[in-house]
Amino acid sequence: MLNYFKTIYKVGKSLIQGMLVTWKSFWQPSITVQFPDEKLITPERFRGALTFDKETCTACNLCVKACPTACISLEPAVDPATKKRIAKVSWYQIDFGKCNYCRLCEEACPTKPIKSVRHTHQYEWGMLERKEMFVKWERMSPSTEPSTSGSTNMKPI
Amino acid sequence: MTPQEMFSIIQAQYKNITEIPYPQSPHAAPAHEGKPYRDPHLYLQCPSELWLEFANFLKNEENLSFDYLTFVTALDYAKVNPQEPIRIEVVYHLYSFKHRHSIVVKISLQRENPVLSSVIQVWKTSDWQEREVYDMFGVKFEGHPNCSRILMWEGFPGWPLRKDYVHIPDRYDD
Amino acid sequence: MNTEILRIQGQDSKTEEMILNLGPQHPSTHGVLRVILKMDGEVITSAQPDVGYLHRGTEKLAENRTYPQMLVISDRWDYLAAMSNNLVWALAVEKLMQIEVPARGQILRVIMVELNRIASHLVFFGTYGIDIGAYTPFLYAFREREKILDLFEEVSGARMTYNYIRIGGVMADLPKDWIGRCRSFLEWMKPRFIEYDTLLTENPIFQDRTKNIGILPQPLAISYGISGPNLRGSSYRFDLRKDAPYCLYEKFNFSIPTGKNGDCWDRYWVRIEEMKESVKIIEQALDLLPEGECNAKVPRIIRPPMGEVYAQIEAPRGMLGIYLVSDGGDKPYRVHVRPPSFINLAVLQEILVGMKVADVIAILGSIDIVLGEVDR
Repeated sequence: MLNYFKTIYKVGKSLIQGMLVTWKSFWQPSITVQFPDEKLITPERFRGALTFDKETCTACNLCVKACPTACISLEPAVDPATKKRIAKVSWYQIDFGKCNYCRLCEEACPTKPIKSVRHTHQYEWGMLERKEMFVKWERMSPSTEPSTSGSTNMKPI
Repeated sequence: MTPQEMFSIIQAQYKNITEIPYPQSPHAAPAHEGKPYRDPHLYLQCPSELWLEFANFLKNEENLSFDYLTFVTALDYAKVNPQEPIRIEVVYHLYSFKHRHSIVVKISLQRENPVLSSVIQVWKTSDWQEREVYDMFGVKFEGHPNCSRILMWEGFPGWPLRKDYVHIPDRYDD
Repeated sequence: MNTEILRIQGQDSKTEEMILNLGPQHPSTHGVLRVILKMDGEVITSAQPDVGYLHRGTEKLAENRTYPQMLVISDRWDYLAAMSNNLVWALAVEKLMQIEVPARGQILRVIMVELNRIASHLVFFGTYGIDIGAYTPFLYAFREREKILDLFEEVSGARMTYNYIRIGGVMADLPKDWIGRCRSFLEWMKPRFIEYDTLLTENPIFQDRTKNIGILPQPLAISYGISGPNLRGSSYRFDLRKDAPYCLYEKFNFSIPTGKNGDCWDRYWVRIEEMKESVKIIEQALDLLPEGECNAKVPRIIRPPMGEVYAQIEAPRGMLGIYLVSDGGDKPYRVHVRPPSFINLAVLQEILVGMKVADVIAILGSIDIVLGEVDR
């Protein structure tokens, strides 16, 4: 019988002690960030979506070899006058379904001072169809925006 | 204990078990002056018929007392490489808590229908690890109570980690 | 009252063995794990775990990836402690190529791995509370984890798959004032342990549910190849950081907590104490951090010599090891990962027998598995 009351006292005391901990944290300021009204500032080295600069790229293929999932493909440009390969790219495509945002392509790129393929801070990106994942930058076509087959929220940076 | 002392104790009991010498190989990365690298443990080559008896000896012998099986795995030497004969090699890496030394035992098996006796009665951890070797390489373990596929699904065709494995497209390929 | 009628045993009542499938989709199995339980009433007679739902074939993928590319895949084995996986791969390749990492690089690695140990044990603490039924400590643990993940985000750029520890050193040096933020995190973390003790460790309901449950005797643990906090909970004091030190661990002063009985409460207690020891290690490491280079000179294309190597570290879940066989080319010939969670999980078929169904989740949670490592 005494054991019965002892157990009730023990459990009740631990309940009160636990509630004191939660009571103390009740009065502390809340740490929740109300997304999408408030957003966190991403740090400098944040690895968001990739972007490509088609004027500085020399089509050296180092990023193609460095990628672990083989999601980058490119074709070097041919000068129409001399019919020789120049150190520029004709088109450059990244398959974002396979990209795992590992930054190995950015580290392999030898362009200075700003690398041709680099991470941006963009992390909000939704697509409606699977073929929107292939993002292609073309240099020889009249448009200078990256063309995707379909509309996407990806804005060129 | 040093590898030489361990080898002398083993050699006194089992004459057929040989030590695998440190590899000498002509080709290697030039930065290392052609010297291959291997861990400084004792590496032994054991014939497959002696394995169960040898395992019991390694565990129960006072000076060796290998009571912990670190891992079991296998390698497939299927590529026609002039330095290596074609075989499947099962590797057992053992550790002793009492004496703090390690040993590696390698057993060579033929590639068609490889069979080896299971050491589940000696170290219980080989239960799942031998099942994984069966699943990936096709090595059957005699004496194992439940030698079936563990990571791939039942009825999966082929032995995935063999070098000549060709993937048969199934319903998961798009 | 007709108590005599009530006390007659039902001699003609038949009991059948029931098979219950603790299926792959379950909130408390920490991933896609299936356990087939055979029960007689509420007492379990046999338990068979069925794994392989998350198998991604990393050992086969490794034969077609170069050594730096494998770091990206190694992140995904034990995804809660990705720095440890990167470290063991880098240690294996460095041992094979005999590269010496400078002291600053090694101490940076120690700081990252110990912070990751705290983060991983916090997940264990939070989810174990939820498994038992205590919903409060979960968000407290994740609030702490957010601070650690913010620190990692500033250093490497990602929150889970860091790819920070590289072959020959680390990816990049620390950003400015990272050390100040890390120290303020450690100061903030120390009073939290008192909170956790009040909420969970000294709670008599929690103790009743975890003491004397799932006792793992020491000879069985050694025979089953258990390592990590599970082995230390069974009162065997073995820790690779003290017994086979790597990465300059011999310079730090810390103790190894060891349990007494080998029950679930001991394994839980060992992890909470390990978190406190990790805080001590990080403070000493931040004091000891030397100036200088953090990376060694590594060739552009990594081609190790022929040979084989086995490197192991003390990951938060146990002894994680990599057995690497190289044939002199730039891709490995054979990679085998020694997964601590896979090997620890095999003991479930022995310690669940004789327990009641309500204890299954408590025992499974105390082994602390991550399915990414079980299935690779």
